[in-house]
Amino acid sequence: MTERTAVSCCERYGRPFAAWDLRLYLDTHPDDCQALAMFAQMYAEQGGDCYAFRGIKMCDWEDGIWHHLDGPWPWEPEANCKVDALYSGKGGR
Amino acid sequence: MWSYEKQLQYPVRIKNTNPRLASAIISQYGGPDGELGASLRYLSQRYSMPFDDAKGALTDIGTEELGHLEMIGSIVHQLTRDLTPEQAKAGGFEAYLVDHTTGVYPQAAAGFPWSAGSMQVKGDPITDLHEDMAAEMKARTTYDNILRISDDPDVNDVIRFLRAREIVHYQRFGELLVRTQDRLNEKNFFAFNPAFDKNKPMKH
Repeated sequence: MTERTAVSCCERYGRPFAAWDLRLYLDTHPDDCQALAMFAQMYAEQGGDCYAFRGIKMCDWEDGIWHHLDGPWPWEPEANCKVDALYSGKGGR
Repeated sequence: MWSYEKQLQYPVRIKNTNPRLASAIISQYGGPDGELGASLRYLSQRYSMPFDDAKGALTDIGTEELGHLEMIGSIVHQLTRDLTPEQAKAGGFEAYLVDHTTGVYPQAAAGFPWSAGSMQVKGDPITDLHEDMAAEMKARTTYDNILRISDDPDVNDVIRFLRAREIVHYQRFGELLVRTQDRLNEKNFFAFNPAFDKNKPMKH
């Protein structure tokens, strides 16, 4: 029996779904302290592993502030480094 | 960027082959109100959104819709994976079989392929959020109609989950609309487009 089948279906799907849905709620209620506290509790229940549910960053908040919505967003120039910083541009390809 | 999680958002386990139902449900894969259009609509509308909450919610909901696309593809696959030519003929599946065998192709129940003509990216937050609320309700109605014609409990369990998600997303988009309007001039929400007329003060 693999480790995966040992986990109940509810555990395997339910926990990440609850975290996902609560995060979506926080997108439009970033000031809801009760909801953020619940999210923090879910994070603690996963042993403080920020990526316990791979697609959901669980630690995108600090001191009661929800940071998941903070910019800049990846499509904005401010979020991107200059390629010059990676490639010196001297000779070569 | 995205990374792939090797697990559906909600489990799909279908016992019985049913090509007739598959050819109806495929509408939520590539039909006008389906999950492919939903994800592309939201993920494309993000770029012109001027507010971080809308950028975040469109990213998260657009990502979830890609997961729903995968669930619909899984339903269609499981309804047809053991299909025989005789079952295809009995289930009205001949036309699809000739074009795609039992591959999963983005098309509507009526047979036409997915088209960007079924969605819009208007570049105006109020307009786009209204489109998004309408899109969620169109998908919800489609799921209601699928439940009207389906008597397979394995399928219906998944469809009910997806239907409920449309309602949750509709609610989130409605909240975003209010949050967006709260940042504009309450005497005239339509005085300017906050995604384009950038030098205007948000409020007077």
